[in-house]
Formats: sequence, structure tokens, C-alpha cells
Amino acid sequence: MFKNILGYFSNDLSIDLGTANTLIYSRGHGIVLNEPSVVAIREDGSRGGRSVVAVGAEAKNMLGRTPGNITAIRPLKDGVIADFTVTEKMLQHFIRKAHGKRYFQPSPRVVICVPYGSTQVERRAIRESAEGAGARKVHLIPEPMAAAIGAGMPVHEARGSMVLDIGGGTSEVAVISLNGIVYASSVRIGGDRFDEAITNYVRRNYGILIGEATAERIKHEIGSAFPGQEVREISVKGRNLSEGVPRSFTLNSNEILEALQEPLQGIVGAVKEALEQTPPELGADVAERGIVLTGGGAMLRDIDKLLMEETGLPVIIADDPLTCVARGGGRVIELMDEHGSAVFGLE
Amino acid sequence: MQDETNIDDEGAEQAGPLAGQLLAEAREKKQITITAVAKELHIDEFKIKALEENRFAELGAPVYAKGYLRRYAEFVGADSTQVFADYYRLTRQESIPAIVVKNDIALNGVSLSPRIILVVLLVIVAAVLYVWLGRSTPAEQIDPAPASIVSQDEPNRTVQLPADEPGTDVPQASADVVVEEFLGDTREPDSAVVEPVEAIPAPTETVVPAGTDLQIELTFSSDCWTEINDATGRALFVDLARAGTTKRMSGVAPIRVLLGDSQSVRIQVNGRVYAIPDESRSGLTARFTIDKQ
Repeated sequence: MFKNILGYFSNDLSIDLGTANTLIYSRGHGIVLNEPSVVAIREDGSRGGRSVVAVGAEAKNMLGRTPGNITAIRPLKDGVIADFTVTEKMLQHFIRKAHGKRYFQPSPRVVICVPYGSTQVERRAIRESAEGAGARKVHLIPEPMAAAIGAGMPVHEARGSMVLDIGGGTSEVAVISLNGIVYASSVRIGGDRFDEAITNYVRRNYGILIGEATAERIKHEIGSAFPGQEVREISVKGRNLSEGVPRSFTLNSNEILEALQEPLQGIVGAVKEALEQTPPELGADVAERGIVLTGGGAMLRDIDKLLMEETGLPVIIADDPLTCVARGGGRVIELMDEHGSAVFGLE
Repeated sequence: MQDETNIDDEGAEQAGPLAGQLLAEAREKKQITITAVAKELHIDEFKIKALEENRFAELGAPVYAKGYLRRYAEFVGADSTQVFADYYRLTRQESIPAIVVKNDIALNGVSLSPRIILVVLLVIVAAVLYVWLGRSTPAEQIDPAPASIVSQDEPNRTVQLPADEPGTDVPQASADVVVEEFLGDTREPDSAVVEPVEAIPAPTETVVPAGTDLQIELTFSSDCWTEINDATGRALFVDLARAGTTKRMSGVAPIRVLLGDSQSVRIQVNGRVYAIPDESRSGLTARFTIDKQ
């Protein structure tokens, strides 16, 4: 009852609760929050409690650099909740931040995008976490559907549209027609696996240990999915495992391409599997128009070329791929008011 | 989401090549055939021609047209910024909204509406309370009055006579008439019985019949010449009243009053504050008559 009253003072939100980043789209305002899904927790030894020190970008800067009593953690893993309490705290912080300074605690209606492959238990955890964070009504929508809508694909047409959303924890591929998912699959490969692959490559070939943040910086700066004419280099520092002291070394884009082969092949395999499983009529539509890439992983250099070469189909990167899912959720809220929540089979 | 717009012919007539035409020029400069472009982009040749002729509506949703344009521009080495600027102009389509990273959205007027709503709610609540309290107070005053009527034997009997005993020689008088009869007896010692009856229309002593005594109390905050005469012509008080004094007197209504400095006098009639009529004032002096109220 009280939440309903507070709801009049809150904006409807669409949340892309991602493994790497959380984005919030506020109805009528656009994307109002884009922060890493990281929370810094202080363990209070004397009282045995835990308190939140920092959330988002501030907490991400602490990753791997915290003293003993502070832990910077990522409460989501593979697109689903790994630490329920911390996720709830993080969502609460983000929802308040997205609303700005208000006299009331916000109680918005929320659409949250969940991985297509998530289990009922995982979905329930996300729903309860959002409710605990103050949401008065929570709708869950599959990520590939939100991504397709956010990218501006004609999901309502009786034609097949294929979307590939490469997130931080999962990659989702789906064929959509008539506002519904005809085929979808989710592989637990995403930006995090790319970072992990780079870390493993450096340790294996250079005997040097690098941190998560360094691996991510390498990926952003020289990461590539397809061999190009230009070879880029980056100088990084890590701990030499045999000597035990920090050392500086140089990596080039071809090495990173080699390092990323395994996770990239996993994604390509998922796309090929989807094409195989798609009914022939819809497959023909996809072949004619192409595959649309969304998610932060779509920003990996030449990933569209890789998929184009592997599948032989046109591959298109959506405008601002990172925010597609959140924007799609926002559009769903608007459509929900016009057509009811049954239009996209929302939960 | 499906808001693909048609090509703006007026825009196409502008000087210089636009969007797809820029791509066609770059392709011809590099001596690449349409077939080679189609093979590289993995799309049909007719779509390449549609792109070059700015017939974007034939390519389906804008996401596809923009994707093809981007890939085509990269392949032929054209300036994609210019191509997209032309594309948005030709299709009159807004480019994607910028990410709002600032979190002070509440400051741009959105937070104002809840404030206004809150104020309006408070006003409504205050109004409802005012009306509710205003209604409940008279109800509490009126309730005891009927009870007191019933408890009084004589008035009760006379009021009920017309209905219960039509054969008696008391005429078919209304309750008001009966009350008037009783008012005439108020000077008799049995006035205590009458007072509750008086409470029916307006409780306490608000209605005092002509010719009855009025208790007047005057409190002076500064020196004031005062003349007070009652209906019988008796001078109740004619003197200079000193500041800080209080004078009490009683006389038969109506009572004529003259106050030299009316602003310094506080008057109570039968224990109730009496406001000096404004029209009776002439400068500081006031001449008025206290009648039955």
C-alpha cells in the first residue's frame, strides 16, 4: 500500500543487471546510470557484520587493491546472482542514484532483463532482490528480446530477426518473430571470459600474473576478434611468477587474438547452432537481413567480421550496443502501458 | 520501433553527393564493382544499389540500413561521419539519444511535481479536518439540549400537548409560540427552568429578551470618559475611568454607552466579549447602544 503511494513519486525503470555493468533506463530520461556491478564490502571483525563501503565505479577502482578488511566483489556471476544480499544493496543504491535526490525512498515499477538460460530459482532471486531494493512491481524480460527491441529490430514482424547479445557473463543468441522468441540459447561466455583468457595467456606464455583490471584494459585497447592489417601494441605490468617481482612487458594484438580464440569459438558455435535450429523460413529471413550484435562484447574490434566470415551472413553492430538491453527494457515499459504486460510474455 | 521513414526528395536535390552517393563515388574511385562490395558485405547486389541511391526504406528497419552503411563506408574508406549525417538528414531520423550520466535529473523540475502534489495533499487534509471539526462541535452542543427539554416537566408537557392531547383547550400552537410564552416568564424566579429551553436554538445566554438585565463589564487600558445609561434612564456610570480599572454594572437593556477613548476599553456583556460597532465610532469616541444580543 505504502509502496503504491510512493510509486506516484517514482519513475518507471528498466534495469540491465549485468555481470560487468548495470545500466538503468529511466522512462522519459533515457539512460541515467551506467556503472560497474561491483560492491566494496567492509568486514567488521569486532562485531562480525558487513557494511557497504562503495558501489559502482568507485568500488571497481578498488578491485584487487583493497586492504584485508575490505573486499571488492562482483555480486553477479554468469548473468545471475551469486551473492543475494550484496546484489540487493547494490540495486538499492543504483535505484536511489537513478532517481536523484528525492524526499521519498523511490518505489518504481521495474523491468529487469534476465539471461534466457537462467533457471526459475535464479529468476526468483533477481525478482526478490529488486523487491527488496524497493521496487513495487517487478517484470522480468529475456535479455535477447530486450536487446532486439533496444537495437530497433522489427520484432513484431512475421519475419525472422536474429540478435546476438554478448554481455559480461553470458552471450545470448535468439531468433525472434511476432514479438516472441522462436529459438534462443545462452552460453556462459562473455567479456569476463575474454579477460580470463587474456590472463591465462599471459601467465602461460610470459609467466607473469596480471590482475582483472589490467586484463580488461588490454582487451579494450588492443583486443581483436579477427586478424587485421594493423598490429597494435600495449605495455603492461604484472608480477613475474618465477622472480616474484613486478615486471613490464609488451603485448600485441595478434597475441590477444590468439588468446581470445577459445571463448570466441564458443560464441561462434552458439550462433551456428542457432542457425541450424532455426526453422527454414525464418533462417532465410536471417540470411537475407543479417545478425544484429548488441552488448558490450559487440565492441570488441572486428567481432562482426569474424562472425561474417564464419557464418557467411551479414553481421551488423547496433547503435550504442552497450545500452541496447536497458533501452529495450525501457521501450517494453512504454509498450506495456499501451498493450498490457502480456505483449512480450513478461513474467 | 519500426519508424523507418522515406527518403526526403528535397534533401536529395541538394548540391553534392549524399550518403549512398558518397559511397558510390568512393567505390568507383577505388574501381570496385558492386558485385565485389556485395560479396564483401554478404548482402544482395540490389541492396547495394538501394544504398547507393539512398532508397533506405527498401532495406527494412533502420538498424539494418545503418549497419550496411557503416560496413560499406569502412570497406570503401569513405567518411562514415558524413555518410551518417546525410542519412539522418535524409530520413529525418533522430540519432540515438546521448547517455545521461548525470544523476541530478530530479533537479530539472521533475521533483517539483511531487512537491506540489504534497502541498495540495496537505491542504486537502487540512480542509477535511477543518470541516470535520466544524461539524462535530455544534453537534456536541446541540445534543444535550433535547435531553434537557425532556427532563423539564413543564416545557415538555406544553410542547407535546398539541400532538398528544388535541382535546385540551391549548390552541394548536407551534413550539416557537410555546417558547415565547415561557420567555415572558423569565423574570420570574423559576428562570432556571427556562435556560435549557433557550439553549435549543443557540446555547447559553445569547438571546436575552428586551427589558432584562444586562451584566456589563468594562476594562480600561487607559483613562477614558465613560457614560452609561440603561433603558430606564438610570445613569449606571458617568465618570472618568482610570487606566487599569474594571467597572461592572447591570441595567435594563437597551443600554446606551458613550466612550471617550473607545480603543482603550474592553467590554464584556453577560460574560461574553462585546465588539464595539465600527459605525458607532467617530474618531476615538464611540456612541452605541447595547441591546439584547
